[in-house]
Amino acid sequence: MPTHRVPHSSDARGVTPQQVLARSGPRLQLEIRALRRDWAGSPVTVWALIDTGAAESCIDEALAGTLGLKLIDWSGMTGIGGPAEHPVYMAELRAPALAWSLKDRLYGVRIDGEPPVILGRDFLASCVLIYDGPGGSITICA
Amino acid sequence: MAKPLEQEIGTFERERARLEREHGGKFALVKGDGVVATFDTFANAATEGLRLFGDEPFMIREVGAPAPRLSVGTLYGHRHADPSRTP
Repeated sequence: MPTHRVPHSSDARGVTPQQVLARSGPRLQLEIRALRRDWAGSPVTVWALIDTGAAESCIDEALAGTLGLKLIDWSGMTGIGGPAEHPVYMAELRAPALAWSLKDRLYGVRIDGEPPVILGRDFLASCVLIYDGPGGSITICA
Repeated sequence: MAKPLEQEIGTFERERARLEREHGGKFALVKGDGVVATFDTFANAATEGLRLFGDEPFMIREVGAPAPRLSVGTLYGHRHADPSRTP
């Protein structure tokens, strides 16, 4: 099972790795691209926030548009603003560090910031995630 | 102007009871007014949808799945995190 450790580094402002991890949350670098029959979209590399509180993985709608992700459904979803209908896209997700890739659904939401992707428990269903708060790092096995 | 996938959503709703009775937990591939097939995984449904229909509209929906929930913390905390902080 490939294992990848993501250290959350100190920054120039003297913030410790523990503080970076606590403030920014556990993050993993991903490649995302559109799934099409006749062409493969160019992958875009982004940081994704791993959120154990989210059932499903989400992508910022603006990024979904830039990537040309294919719309495959609409779904009611409950978030901070209450229930709302959101587009559902399909995409290929790849974590190069884990030699892991998957064709999956991504729910389109307006994120307004970085990182533009949230990995929910659908992603974690195939992973072991170790959150090392004192060490300021996460380790993922997929 | 019709909403994208409106016809497919109507088809799924019409077939919902039967799908939930016979194909719960599977992924339904829907095109126009017909359910094409159900699949064990989303990836298989996506592959078949692209093979059959290419860039034409088609819908894939998990049969019997509850509406997804985003935690309040997800978007609130996400929007208020320091965007400059990456590992």
